Amino acid sequence: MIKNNMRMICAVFICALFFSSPAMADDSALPGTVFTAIMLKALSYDRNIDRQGKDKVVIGIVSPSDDAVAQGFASDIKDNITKVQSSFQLKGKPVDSDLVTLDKTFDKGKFSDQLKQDNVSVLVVVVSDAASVGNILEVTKQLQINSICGTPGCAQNGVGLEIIQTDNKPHMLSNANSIKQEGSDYNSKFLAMCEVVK
Amino acid sequence: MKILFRLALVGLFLSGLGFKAFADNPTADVNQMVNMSLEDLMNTKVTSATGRSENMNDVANAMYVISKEDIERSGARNVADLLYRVPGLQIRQIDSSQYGVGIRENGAFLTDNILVLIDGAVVFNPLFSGVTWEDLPVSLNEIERIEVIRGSPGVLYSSNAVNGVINIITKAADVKDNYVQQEGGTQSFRDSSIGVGDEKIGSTGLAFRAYLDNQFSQGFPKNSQNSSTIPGSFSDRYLSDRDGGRIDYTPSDHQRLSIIANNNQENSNTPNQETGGLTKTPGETTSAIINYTDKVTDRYDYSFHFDHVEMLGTAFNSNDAIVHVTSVNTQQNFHYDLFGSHVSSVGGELRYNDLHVTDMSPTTIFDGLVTNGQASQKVISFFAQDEYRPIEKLILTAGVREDSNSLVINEKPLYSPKASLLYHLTDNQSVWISSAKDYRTPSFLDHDLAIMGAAPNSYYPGYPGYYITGSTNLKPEANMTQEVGYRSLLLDQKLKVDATLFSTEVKDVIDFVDTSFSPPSTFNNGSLSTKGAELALDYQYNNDLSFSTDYSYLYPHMKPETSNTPSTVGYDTMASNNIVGIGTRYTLNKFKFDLYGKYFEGYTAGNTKIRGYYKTFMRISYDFVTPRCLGKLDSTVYLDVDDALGARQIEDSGNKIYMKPEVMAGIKVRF
Repeated sequence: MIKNNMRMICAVFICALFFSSPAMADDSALPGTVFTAIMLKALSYDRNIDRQGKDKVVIGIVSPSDDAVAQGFASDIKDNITKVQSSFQLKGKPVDSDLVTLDKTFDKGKFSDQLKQDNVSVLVVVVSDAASVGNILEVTKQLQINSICGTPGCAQNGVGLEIIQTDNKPHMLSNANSIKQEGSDYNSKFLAMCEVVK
Repeated sequence: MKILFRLALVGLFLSGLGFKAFADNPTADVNQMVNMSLEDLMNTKVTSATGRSENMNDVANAMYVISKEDIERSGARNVADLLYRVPGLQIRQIDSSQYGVGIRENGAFLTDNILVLIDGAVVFNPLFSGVTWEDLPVSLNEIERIEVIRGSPGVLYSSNAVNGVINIITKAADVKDNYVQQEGGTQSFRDSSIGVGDEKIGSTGLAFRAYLDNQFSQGFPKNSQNSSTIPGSFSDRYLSDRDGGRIDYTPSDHQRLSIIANNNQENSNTPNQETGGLTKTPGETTSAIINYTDKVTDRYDYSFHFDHVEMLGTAFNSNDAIVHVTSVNTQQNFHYDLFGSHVSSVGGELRYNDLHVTDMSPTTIFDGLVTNGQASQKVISFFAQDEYRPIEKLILTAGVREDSNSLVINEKPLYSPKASLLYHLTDNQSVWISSAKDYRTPSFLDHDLAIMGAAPNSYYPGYPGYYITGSTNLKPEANMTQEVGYRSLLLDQKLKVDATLFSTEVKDVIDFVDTSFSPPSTFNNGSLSTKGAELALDYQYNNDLSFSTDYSYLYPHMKPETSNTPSTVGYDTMASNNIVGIGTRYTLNKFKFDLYGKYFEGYTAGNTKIRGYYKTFMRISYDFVTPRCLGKLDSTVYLDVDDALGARQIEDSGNKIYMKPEVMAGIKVRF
């Protein structure tokens, strides 16, 4: 009986496998609430999150001055961080946020000074084009700041941690080299939850 | 041959269709979310209730999810230990390895109305439609999460899901999670396990995972306080070797193929009261599963599943019963808009069970199966369901399942309908109601077999023993269930409330009696009605500290048709049950502390207490990084105290047995 059924089952299996039509990959940005929650929880896995030695963890949120959509998303993230400020801590330190605007004429020195002045420990990069983050990442590596973004493809372009949705499900990607260069020390339990980009 | 056979088993499973992502959850709030574990945030999908991934807040079922973090912090040694923390479940540990697990009923050893799945494969034994928990082919370290539905789960599930579903989902191969773990306890418990998996190999889309788990227990010396029934003290022994592996293949972002194989070879040694020695009851369960999912478009997705499970006699004696279970099923989901949004699901299932039994020596204490031979069972099912959202806050679901089962007289088709309504009162509050009819069809034991369940004097002088013969004239048990539920997040979303009221009526209860009475076989004996309430509270004080408590009340009432026949089913004598659970979880930097305890008690109609027992779990763990010379690996050391609140007392019908607490220490290194 089983043997007889096996032929039919194998045939159905093969049909199901080869006659299904392909669909497009579905990567997109997460809503601000989900992105913020996952980001904060992810940062709690970084054993060096307090490497700046400051009394609070400031999360800078940078977006281009000419991109209203990106600025709106940046504000959304800041609002969500404000909502959890009273109850959420990273390594026993309170969390704060700071909006940073990226001018068209990017000045690396000026940008670096601003991050230092604002005591930024983590930088959320909000851009529409994942390929436009190169200059920013030079600064995060220099200042030993965690870089995070929510734009599909940004980890491939050097951002340490990418938090997006794939097929409507949260998905994290980490760039192993960037994480190391930025001085982060995520534990392996966390990295096991990420797709690693090299 | 066995390996070839396992490899030949093919199953395709589509469950990833129509993800109702957390992102879409209208009740989600960032405060609520940061209080969840990252694993939960990344895995809030729920597949059990509808067979599709769905947000838990949209499920019109009493449901509880045991997350990976819950498992890691629990101090549990096996799946049944984990289930203690689920509200509404009544669990009795019988010895070091055997458990009785009941959903909304007493945790009888041979509970026969729960559907238990591992990655979609049915792992209850059709011999008696129950689960031998010590035989489950899965290691705790390999479990991603466990979803438990109490009550009728809906039309998308196989038969036997009368009182609920326990759905065990294991880790995918493409998630890097490599570990070595060793633990040991003061009562001789020890466990060694290793698991290896990695991300995808290059761009092939292929990923592999494998594990080994060896567990031994000689613990739980039982000291009877009632020498007239069980004299002296005794202990038992349990040894199990679990191993398995899986291959996940993702040729594209929307397709996923998983091939999973698991094996558990165990050897239980239970005390023999008459000979003073140990009776060996070895068992082996092997499963091979193939799941395939494909989200073809945003409007259409499907799953295909195939499994084969082989169970070697664990019920009575060494390999006296061999059961092969083979099943194939598919589910097709269509998403469309018509006066609101719909998800319509249709599908079918073919299940074939094959049983071989061997006559046992009449001189053994458990005389085992009296009849030799072979029996088979074929179940063909079709189902259809529509989930309709006329407005965002309202979800209406209705469906019907048709089962044709060869163990039902004339293979008469059985129709199981279910309808439910869920309404989001506010962003943080929802209510739901449901009504369903399900059938529990006869098991091989009910239908075909003649068994000496226990010989006279097996347990103590004067014990009459019992003898069971099957009957081919059994009607299936028909179960009507009504439920009302409420979920909310209160007190600035720090307090989670989950409450359910339910009522069930089982008609044509399949019962059996001692042979000294008539009729001397299984037969339909009246009805069993049960009413109950379940309340679970979870308070998240801050990011590091939480408290939980749950209470369940159960009032079963048996109404036998044959009043002069003493039923041996067991639940007839119990009039009410109270179950109370309480737990706390605390994190202080690298230290973690978890404590959970559960208390059960049962009373007769005359308010006489006839059952009372409890069990507690405590774990204290410390995360550290190994020295540089050892590779700077993330590691955890932990201390578990099983029954931290003192010796466990099992009190049942006058028998008092105490099990000594066990202190266990362990280390887990991730690499």
